[in-house]
Amino acid sequence: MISLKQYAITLALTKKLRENDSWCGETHLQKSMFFLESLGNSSLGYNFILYKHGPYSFDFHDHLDELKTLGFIDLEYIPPYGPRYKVTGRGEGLIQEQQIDSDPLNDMIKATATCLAPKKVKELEQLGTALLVWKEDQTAPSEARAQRLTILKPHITPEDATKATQEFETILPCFQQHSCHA
Amino acid sequence: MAKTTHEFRDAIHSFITCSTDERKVINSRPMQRLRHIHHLAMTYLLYPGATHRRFEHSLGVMHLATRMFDTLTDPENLRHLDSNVRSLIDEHIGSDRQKNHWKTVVRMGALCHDVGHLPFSHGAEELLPEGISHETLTWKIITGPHMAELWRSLSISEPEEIAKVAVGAKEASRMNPPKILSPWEDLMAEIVVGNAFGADRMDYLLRDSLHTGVAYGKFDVDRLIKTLRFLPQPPEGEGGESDNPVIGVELGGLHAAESMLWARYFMFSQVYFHPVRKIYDLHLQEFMKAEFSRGIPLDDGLEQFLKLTDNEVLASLRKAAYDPLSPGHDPARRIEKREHFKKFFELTFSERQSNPLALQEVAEAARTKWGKENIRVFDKDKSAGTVQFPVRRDDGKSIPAQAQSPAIKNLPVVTTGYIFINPQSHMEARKWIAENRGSLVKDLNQGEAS
Repeated sequence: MISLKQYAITLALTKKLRENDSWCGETHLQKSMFFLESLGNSSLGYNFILYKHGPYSFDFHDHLDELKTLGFIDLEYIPPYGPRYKVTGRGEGLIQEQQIDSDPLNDMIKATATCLAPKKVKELEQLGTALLVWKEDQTAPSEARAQRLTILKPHITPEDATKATQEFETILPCFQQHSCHA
Repeated sequence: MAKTTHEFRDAIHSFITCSTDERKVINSRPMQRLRHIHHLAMTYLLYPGATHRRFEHSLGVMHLATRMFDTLTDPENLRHLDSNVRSLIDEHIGSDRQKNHWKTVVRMGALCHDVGHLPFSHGAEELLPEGISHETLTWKIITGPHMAELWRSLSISEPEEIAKVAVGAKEASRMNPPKILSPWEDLMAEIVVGNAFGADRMDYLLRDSLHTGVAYGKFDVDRLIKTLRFLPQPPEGEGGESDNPVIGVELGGLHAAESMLWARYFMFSQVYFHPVRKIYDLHLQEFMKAEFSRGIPLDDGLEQFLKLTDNEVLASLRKAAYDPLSPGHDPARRIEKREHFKKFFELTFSERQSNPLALQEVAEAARTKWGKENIRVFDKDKSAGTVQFPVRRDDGKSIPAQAQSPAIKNLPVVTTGYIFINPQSHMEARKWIAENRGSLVKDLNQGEAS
């Protein structure tokens, strides 16, 4: 069973993404949670796979559904766009109640939101896959990881793969600096 | 001359047809086994007509999936698509040979999507080892030796294509190792087991509605299927376009889609989450745990598993009900003599929202008071309100259904939590809840619910 703390972490991430002007659709949340789960040194229990648009967790998708059911998040619809997530008043209450502001993971949540909020979904797909490739073999040189990225996602061009790999290397220290050991 | 097309009469769809080679699949051992597995487990103890089996449901899913495939891939219905969204479709069904191949894959995936079910369907699933589900078994059966020759007769060289369409992306990703569907396979699986318009869902709503006598499960399936379309996914913000099509609906079919989603809500409320049905499921699980104390047999290439149906379990259950020395005697007796535990607490939606852990907290207090052997808990929420699909408006734009339809945006959530007690203590427990509900169900924000 998912704990109230896990609910609150997702809510805090959603809130921070919105504060940093992310569209905050499901892709934005999925990729951000993948970064948080992978680099936060605090397993949140979501199983990510390499799916159509990069790393994706069906568990996390269900978790978002659950948060909506419980009234902690809501979906906004602005045609012709797909839905975007926002934290409700009840959700804000849970973030406070669970004291996420003083949680060791909070800096990591902020770093994730700051780095990823401005990204479009295609950039997030590429960055997320770059992280997944890095996790496979952290010692591999950039060129080899970019090549691996195009093998996993053939529709990503070699130029975009190289760009995504380099950008990942640029933002990685920011995550590592805030990485906690909760 | 021998017939090449064969027909089944069906209570929902009138006639369901198949080819001679497809009939061999229907006649196979894994498929025929489904004649002996109730679609709604022991719901017939509550709704006496609900004795239908997974076999006829599987035929129905094949029939509806075929109709959906034909509508979705009709060239007339693809003309509106931009070339980038259409490229995936052209790449896979550009020729008649390709189209026939995928139609067969969809039909067979639909037909076989339930072959891995245990006796009494979902009721016994908890007995499976960690990481194994009925979808895992479905995958193993479809890709295993029992069906290999049948696929060859149908010119299908990769049975995994059928398995992927039968279980869908989510369950395939939970296999060990994970199986990942390509965007096209994902689209085909949506036809069969999709969350919004899967043929599985359409058939079970209509069929369960008919057999339970709960009329709320009906909807205009003909109109809905006629108006289904491959549509671009609404973009996730500026620059958030995706080239992968999804299954959506023309504006003219929106009311049919609405009625299906409401039908689902009603069926969950009235049938699937009915407290008496749930307590029979729980007693059945207890019996099966005792009966299969060494686990469900899954070795030996699923030979033992394929021999196991509701019939064998029912025979054991009736015997155990009258044999006090049998390890499964108590739950068997409760089912056979209708002496099931009784509901004394039902969590309201607002209570769950106020405190997601409320049900477990009340259950713990009840266990402390009456002993855990006298308490049973069913806890489930189903967010029927979050089904996402696009609607194609008359101006050609695709927008999220929720943006077009208040009936879908405001679809209530089916959420249920029950606590049951040994019938001997039922009245006492009801009084306890009535007197203590306010202090037992604590509001996270205010300490106690009002």
